[in-house]
Amino acid sequence: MDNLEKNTTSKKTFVDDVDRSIYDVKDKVNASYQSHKGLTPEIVDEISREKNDPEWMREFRQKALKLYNSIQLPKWGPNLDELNMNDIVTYVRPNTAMQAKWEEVPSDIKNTFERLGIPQAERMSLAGVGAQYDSEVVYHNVREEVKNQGVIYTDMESALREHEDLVRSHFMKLVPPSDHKFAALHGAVWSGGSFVYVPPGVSVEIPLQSYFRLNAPGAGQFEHTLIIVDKGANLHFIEGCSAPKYNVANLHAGCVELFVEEGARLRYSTIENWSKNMFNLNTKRAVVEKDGKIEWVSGSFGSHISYLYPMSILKGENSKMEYTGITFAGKGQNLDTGVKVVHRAPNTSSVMNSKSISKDGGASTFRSAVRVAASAAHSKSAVSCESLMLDDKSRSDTIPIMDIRNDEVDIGHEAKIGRISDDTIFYLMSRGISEADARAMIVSGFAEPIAKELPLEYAVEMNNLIRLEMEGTIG
Amino acid sequence: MNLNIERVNALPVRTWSWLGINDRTIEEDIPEILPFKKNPLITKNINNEKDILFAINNGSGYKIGTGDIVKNAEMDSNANHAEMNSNANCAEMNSNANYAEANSDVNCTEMNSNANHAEMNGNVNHTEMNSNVNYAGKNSSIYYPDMSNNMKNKYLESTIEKVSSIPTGMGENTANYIRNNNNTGIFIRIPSGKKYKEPIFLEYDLDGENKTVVDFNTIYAEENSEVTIVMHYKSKKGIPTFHSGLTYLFAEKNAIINLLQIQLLSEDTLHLNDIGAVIENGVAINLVHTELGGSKAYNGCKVDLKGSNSKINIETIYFGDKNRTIDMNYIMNHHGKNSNSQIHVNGALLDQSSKTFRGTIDFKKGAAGSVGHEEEYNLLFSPKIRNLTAPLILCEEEDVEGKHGANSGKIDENKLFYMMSRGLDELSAKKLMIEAAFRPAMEQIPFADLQDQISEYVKERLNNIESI
Repeated sequence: MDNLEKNTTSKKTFVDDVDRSIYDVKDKVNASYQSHKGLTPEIVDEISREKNDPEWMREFRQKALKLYNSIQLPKWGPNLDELNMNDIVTYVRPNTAMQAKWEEVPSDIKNTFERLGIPQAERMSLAGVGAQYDSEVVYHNVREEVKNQGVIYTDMESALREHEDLVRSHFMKLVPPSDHKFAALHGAVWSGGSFVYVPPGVSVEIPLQSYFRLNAPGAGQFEHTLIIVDKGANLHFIEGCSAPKYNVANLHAGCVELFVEEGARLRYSTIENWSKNMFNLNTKRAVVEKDGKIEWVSGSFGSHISYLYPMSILKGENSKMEYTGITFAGKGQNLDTGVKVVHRAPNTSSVMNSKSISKDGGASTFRSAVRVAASAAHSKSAVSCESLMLDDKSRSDTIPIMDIRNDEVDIGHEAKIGRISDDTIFYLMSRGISEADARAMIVSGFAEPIAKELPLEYAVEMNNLIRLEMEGTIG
Repeated sequence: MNLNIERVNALPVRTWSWLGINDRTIEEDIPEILPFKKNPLITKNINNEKDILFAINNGSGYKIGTGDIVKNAEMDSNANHAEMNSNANCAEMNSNANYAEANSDVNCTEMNSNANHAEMNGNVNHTEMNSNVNYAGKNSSIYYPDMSNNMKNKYLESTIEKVSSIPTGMGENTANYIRNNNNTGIFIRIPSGKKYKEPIFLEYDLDGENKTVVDFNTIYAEENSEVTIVMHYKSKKGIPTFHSGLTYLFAEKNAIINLLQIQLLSEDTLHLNDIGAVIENGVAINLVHTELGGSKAYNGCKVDLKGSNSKINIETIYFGDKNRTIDMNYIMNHHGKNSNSQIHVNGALLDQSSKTFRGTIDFKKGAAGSVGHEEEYNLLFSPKIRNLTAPLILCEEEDVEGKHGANSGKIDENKLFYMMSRGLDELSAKKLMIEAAFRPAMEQIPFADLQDQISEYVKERLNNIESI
């Protein structure tokens, strides 16, 4: 604990020092490696050295780099041509702080902070300007509380040092670097993120939040979240927040790996509101053992292009998965999100409820896969997706696939697409509500199943965010 | 010979390749494609309808007439290809003209390159042409009995040219294959205003002498016309046979086309069925597909609902047992306002069979007021089956209603219990449920004889099942 404080204190100082001269540093960096473009083994080694990685992690990063260079970009989703990997590499190198100057943060981001009532102190942090931030204190307090229950809640780098075996036996085993190009990239340059271990039988009452650790260098960009919920334990983890997160480098290639052991329960909630220049290519996967349960709650509002499909592997008998999600695609956004589940054992069940909204020329795609293996007798699955089109400039696509290889199953799927009915608007207006408010109400109502799964302050923030987005339409 | 076709039944938008659903490759051994020696037309009533343009394709292009007059047995030894019959007995035919060659759209490898391009551009054909006639077909005052055969052929040509660019469900590679290798098929063009209520029955029956049917059919309904066509595909057991069919449908304003494709092939037949359709304002299409047989059955159907208030209703049933595979691809492109598509699929999977169903409802911008419904019910009877479903909805228009639902599972336990409590044993009860699943489609086939044939076929298949 003392160690950590010392580390963070020294890190804070380090950050302050760098802040003023960020451009000098960048220029120096650029000058120094003009000869190598892109991600090289040398850069990866540098990252590893700076983090004091154990040797096996350095080798792991190098192997992932090789895979990254050999795997192609995916061809089935939104176009990724705009992604400039060379640019991003400059932010991956250590000693270049991933921080902007407040003046450069886009004005719409600053406006949103204002409208959502985000406290001043937090704004700088969210905008990646890296000021000092209260949450450090909150984070520490939470840590103390749960530590008494035996819960380990720390950052990934510390976990790698203090719980090496536990990390090594789980790290990128669920999402191997060979999975796809951005998993490989992540494997090579990952930095930051949270590690949580909940011992058997422990029920963690307060939700743990990644929000507490927003201002760590490299935060939110290539962070790795690893959560192990041991037998019979219970945890709610919340990632992100509805305030927009601005990042100078525009790629988020994070990775979330969730291990739900026998009889355990994990609820993983996310609200993503990356700024509208971001490429959000996140990979999330959970494996659930016998009698375990994973619940996903997901609200995707931000980013320019998203590829996001939380995947659950129902490995043990009676394991369950629930997914509730909403995607809101506005102007200039192409959000390709969905959910995947593999039923590998008998008596497993999955329930997926997804809603998507498109407006102002945005494109949202719901892409899903339900695979029921021959070994998954007596499984049940129900997928329901609803899409709301708010105008005729936008797009909404639904691409759900079911692959069923057993007859003792009960699989149902339904999808609907439509618009806000004129009758409903008329009715609300006849009650004295303005058209803009009526629309916002209806959309909030549409999002209600997701809002009610979130802790109150998040639900309130999410509703505010929806309101804000809707005002954009009419105003 | 080897049949190799790629990108068959492709999804209009790709998804993760590990699901194995984006498209299929057909790689099979098939018998050599020889002329189909039978006349597929069963009812000859159409003979009396002089205002309907009807032609039978015997593999070297369409020949005007109902086929009585086409003698496939006589091969002209002067022709460069065995299939060409330049001694057709039709009195009206210009014996120098060879219809295969006149029709430049039939991509026939059998074309005699010495023939007709000279003759086509020569004197006879052109002087007979009425230069006021618009061969693009918009001019509905054309009265077929008045036309000379050469004029009819030109008209036929231009119709085929128009339809051949229609995209199909199985995709370009399959459509090209069938256009290049067809050995039978019919062409029918109904003049505007004519409601031809008599169903036209076609039978493609494969046996030892006719091991391959590659039928290329064109159905063109002018404004306000109506036609019903039944295509019955069957084959003898125990002989490896091959069927692949391509049907183009074009319906002008307010026309009605009822097309029933009854596939009751044996388990020794490789079966491909492709449809491409374009429908204009106010058109109604009813399509029935009974995909009950074949060793492997591929079925693709793409419909462009170009016109406002156009609608299509599709009833499909399938029956997989033993090692059968059934692979379908339905794509409904809604372009016109208030267009409406309804797809109902009902089927049963037994043993180690597998079925892939792709159903896409695509609302294009401008298709305001459109409705697209897709429903699928799959009864599963064995732990070794594979049921792959991809019900897609693509949308770029806000004022639409799109819905799809899919259900897969065993027979409802309660229903089974009820039937057994009425004295049926388990096997009989299950067989009854399968027959019941086919009922909605059977109701769309209002021909007692055909219904009987289908029932017989299903009963026989069910009899061979010992346990499910």
